[in-house]
Amino acid sequence: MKNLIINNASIVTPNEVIHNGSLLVENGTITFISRKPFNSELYPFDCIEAGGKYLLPGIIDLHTDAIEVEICPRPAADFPIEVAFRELEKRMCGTGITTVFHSMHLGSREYEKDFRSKYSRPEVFAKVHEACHKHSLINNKIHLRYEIAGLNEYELCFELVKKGSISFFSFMDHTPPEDLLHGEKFEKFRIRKRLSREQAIHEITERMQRPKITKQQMLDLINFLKDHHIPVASHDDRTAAVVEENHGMGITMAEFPISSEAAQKATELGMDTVGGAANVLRGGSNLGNINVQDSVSKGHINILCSDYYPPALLHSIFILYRNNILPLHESARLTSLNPARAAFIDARKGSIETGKDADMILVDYKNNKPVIEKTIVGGNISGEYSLKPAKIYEYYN
Amino acid sequence: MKNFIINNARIVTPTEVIDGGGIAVKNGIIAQVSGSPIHDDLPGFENLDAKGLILMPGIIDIHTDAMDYEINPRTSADFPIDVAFSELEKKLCGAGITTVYHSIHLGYRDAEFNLCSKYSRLQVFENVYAEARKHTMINNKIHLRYEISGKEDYDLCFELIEKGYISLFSFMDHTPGQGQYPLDKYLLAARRRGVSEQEAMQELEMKRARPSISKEQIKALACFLKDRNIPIASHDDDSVEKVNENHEMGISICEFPINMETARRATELNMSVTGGASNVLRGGSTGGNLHARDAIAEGVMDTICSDYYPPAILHSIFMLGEHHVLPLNQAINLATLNAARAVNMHQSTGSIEAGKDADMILIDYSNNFPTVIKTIVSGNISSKFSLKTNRVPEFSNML
Repeated sequence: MKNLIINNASIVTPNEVIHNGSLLVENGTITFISRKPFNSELYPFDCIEAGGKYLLPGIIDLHTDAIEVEICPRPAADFPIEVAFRELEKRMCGTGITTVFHSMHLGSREYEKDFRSKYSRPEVFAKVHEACHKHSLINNKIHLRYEIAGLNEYELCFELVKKGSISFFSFMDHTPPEDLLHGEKFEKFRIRKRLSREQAIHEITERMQRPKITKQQMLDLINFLKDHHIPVASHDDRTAAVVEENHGMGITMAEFPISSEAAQKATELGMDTVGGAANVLRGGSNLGNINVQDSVSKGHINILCSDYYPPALLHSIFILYRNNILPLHESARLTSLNPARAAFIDARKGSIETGKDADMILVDYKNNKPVIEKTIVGGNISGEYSLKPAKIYEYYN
Repeated sequence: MKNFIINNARIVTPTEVIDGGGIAVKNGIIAQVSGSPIHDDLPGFENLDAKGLILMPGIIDIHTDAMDYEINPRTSADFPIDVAFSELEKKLCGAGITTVYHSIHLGYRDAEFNLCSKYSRLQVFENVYAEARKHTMINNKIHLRYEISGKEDYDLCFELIEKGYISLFSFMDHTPGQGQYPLDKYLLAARRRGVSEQEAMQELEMKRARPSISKEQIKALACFLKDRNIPIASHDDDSVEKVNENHEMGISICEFPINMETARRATELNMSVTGGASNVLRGGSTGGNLHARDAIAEGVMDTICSDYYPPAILHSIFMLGEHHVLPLNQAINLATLNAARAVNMHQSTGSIEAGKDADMILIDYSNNFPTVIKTIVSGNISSKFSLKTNRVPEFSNML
């Protein structure tokens, strides 16, 4: 492992931005942060001259569905899992993500139907877990998102945890709400799925009537996860009452609260609340739910994840900063220290502080747009990016 | 612009693989290709040691639909086009693509329905073109793919061409019952989404009844394109007659032929025949049509493009080499020199030859898996990757 000096960076720590700051990396760990440049001639280290660009903590993404889409970008078009994994982590490296929790579904007939993959779910979990442990560009972990109507997969959750495959767990309940059967929502659903009225009503009622695991089964699983130090989140909470119930069962995190009252309640109860960075970048939900920028400004969202668009995270940090919603060191925390704490990895990850792993990104922020120049993972420069100088091309011979 | 020398590479030229060769790059152009190491003490030249890795021409992708999905990864979830553009080209760069023809649809109502985008098609074309003219990592061009039932957009094709936005053009016809969706496959797909045969047939009649532009209009547009030296492709051809007709009109690329006869006929007529790398990598077509790999082995497909999965090109090249379908240099030609020829770019790029643009990728091919280490575009190292050498130590707080 190489040692590194980074000189003259705007270092984003949890509490401030240190302009013209410098730091030392030894054996993959940050060993010193200074307000003055190091004399690179005195150290037998590689030296990066940052030229005032931002050095941010590497992004920690707790929830991204990208791996499923990468394996099966079109229905029934499965690619080799190792190819998908390597290509995806390369893409994530380029978006500034240094630790990712690949969120993988289990127990959801809807997702299985959408993808029509040739791979069984256990096969996908096994292959991705194996790939996570090979030489890689970034740190890869698995987030199991379990649909509670997946009765047949309940036991498999325990097995996967015992195997050590799972580092993060969430409970999902995609039972259609009552109001999907009426009015505008119904019409939208029907048209989108290209179904007749009868077919749509049939599909929705069938899904509403599906049996789910019992409260006791859910509690047993939560306790089992806690014993294994695996963080547990809920998903798409609609109301404050649902949040209270989840909290009562020992869930510590609310992913994608649907309403502001749900987000507010979760925050009041001391839970971590996760919003989608795609929502921040787009300036709202594509489904008409909460606006994450608003929720962040009210203090009701303290973590961002990429959801379905990995590049959204880096852009969101700078959008929140540019829109004066948060100072930069605080908006960067939403994608680094806060998710690290929520995932129980903050002892080594999540901030630029001495003693922590050197997971950092060098970002050129100009014309209101952040451009990644280097992604450093455990002191290794995993990815480096550069724009070519302008040149007028002769398009044709 | 830096000048540099790369020594100790396995250089892949159109005709051979040179072990231990060297190349010199000056002002973004390949100045010299040598069978032996080049003196590394030239003043003003940086030295790079390839450590025995493969140095091959950068990939030229003449058809990828990735841009529309990057702008709209989910129905009605539009992202800013400048963000989508930069993030996508970074991904393509990492996949070894140095020149891309973003294939952007027009007149294609089904695709518009699926995306449900807030952007008009014109806005997409304008913004992508504007971004392509800025500082970029790779070379970005636009491939307009026009659905011939989009009558309302016919005039817009001329406008976009006139403005200089378009570098490649293709005619598409996705009417079910022919092309990519012969009747049996269409009905099967309908059944899968829970639609009865009767309803599917109604839908089919509706789609068949959609008026398309006339043959005369296609010819007029083809002439307009030819006058401007813009290469033209057809799409999903399913018969020898269609290929003959297309060739007659001056179409020079046959994209995604549905069966072997069609591909063979297009090859006989000296057309470029393009297949999907996704098809090669997956070992067949999702729609049950022509296996691209078989067509390549038969010598009736000379170009591959990424279609809907950009990383597929690099992986399929090495797969073809590994399975002895083609020698490595010829497999590489499929996505480099042959693709460049198809779009008339072969004099300036598409191979590692002195005088051409230094568009090259450095590949570590070990354990049957190609890994892009460097992507060089016009002599600029646009991206560079290094796998962590040590296994990651566990980092949970509990350990």
